[in-house]
Amino acid sequence: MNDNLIIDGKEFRSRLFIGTGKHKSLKDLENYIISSESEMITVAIRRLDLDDNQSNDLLSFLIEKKLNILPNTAGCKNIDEIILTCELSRELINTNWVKLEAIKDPKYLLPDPMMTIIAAEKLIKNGFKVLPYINSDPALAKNLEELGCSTVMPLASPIGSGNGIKNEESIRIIIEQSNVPVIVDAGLAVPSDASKMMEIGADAVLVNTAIAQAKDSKKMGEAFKLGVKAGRISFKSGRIPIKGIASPSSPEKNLLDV
Amino acid sequence: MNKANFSIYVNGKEFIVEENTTLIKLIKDLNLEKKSFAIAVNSEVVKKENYNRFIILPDSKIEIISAVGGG
Repeated sequence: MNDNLIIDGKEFRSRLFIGTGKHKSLKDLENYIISSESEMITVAIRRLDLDDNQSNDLLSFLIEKKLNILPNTAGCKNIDEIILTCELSRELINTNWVKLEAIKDPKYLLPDPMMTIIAAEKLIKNGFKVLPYINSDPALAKNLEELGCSTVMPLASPIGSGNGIKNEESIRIIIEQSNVPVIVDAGLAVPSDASKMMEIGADAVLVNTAIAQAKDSKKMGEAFKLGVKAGRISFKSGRIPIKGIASPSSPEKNLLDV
Repeated sequence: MNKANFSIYVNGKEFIVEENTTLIKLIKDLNLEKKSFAIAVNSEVVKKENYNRFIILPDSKIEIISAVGGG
């Protein structure tokens, strides 16, 4: 039996989602998408630069590679902007999947729970599959699941901060209680962070800055792929219990006695 | 008979167009034919198949968007 990730009936072999923000070049992006083996790639939606005549078209590139594209609502300041952005992205990308980001806080980019709930409810009513980016709040995660969200995406630490995992216990509770996939998003800095999240039972992770801004993004994409795989296999294998005292690994019988 | 001109706003910038200008004409005038984009006029999405018959009215606020790198 395979161990594919399933979100709303759609199967993914990879449990690593990749962001395209801050990529150094399209060639670099292509390299790290391939090395990461990710099948789900996020993009942002922005006004087209009407004065830019270059054909540097990220979307055509992703479509050509036959990747699943997950548009986000980053930068939207209110519910109306979120809804319009999602409707435009549905027309542009031909997908009803959206990563909902409802953020008012410019310093820590922490998502606003009220705005997230209101937007999620409206989007679900309008036929969208909503993957909300949230603070690692188990009650909020449960509410969003009950509203009909397809996943929950708790943050490990603020976006792009490279701060690693600052919310492990609350993420653990979200995982324990969730009936929808939990995708840990934001702040993961190194593959061991991703591995740790997968080891405690996260269904997937989303990584952007840690790969896009690494000195060697291609190698870092591969390293995250391996970290996610190792963590997932470890989770499925069942870790040993934690004990307060040592337990020898070598036999205690037939010891020398001089 | 002369056509009247009026202002519209595309991605926040003012443009002057003739009356009865369609979205497809605007797209051609802006050299966007080869680009990937979606359009909303006054906060309503216009589907691609309707660009050739959608006539832009005075003071319309048009948003033309595309995908960029994001996380």
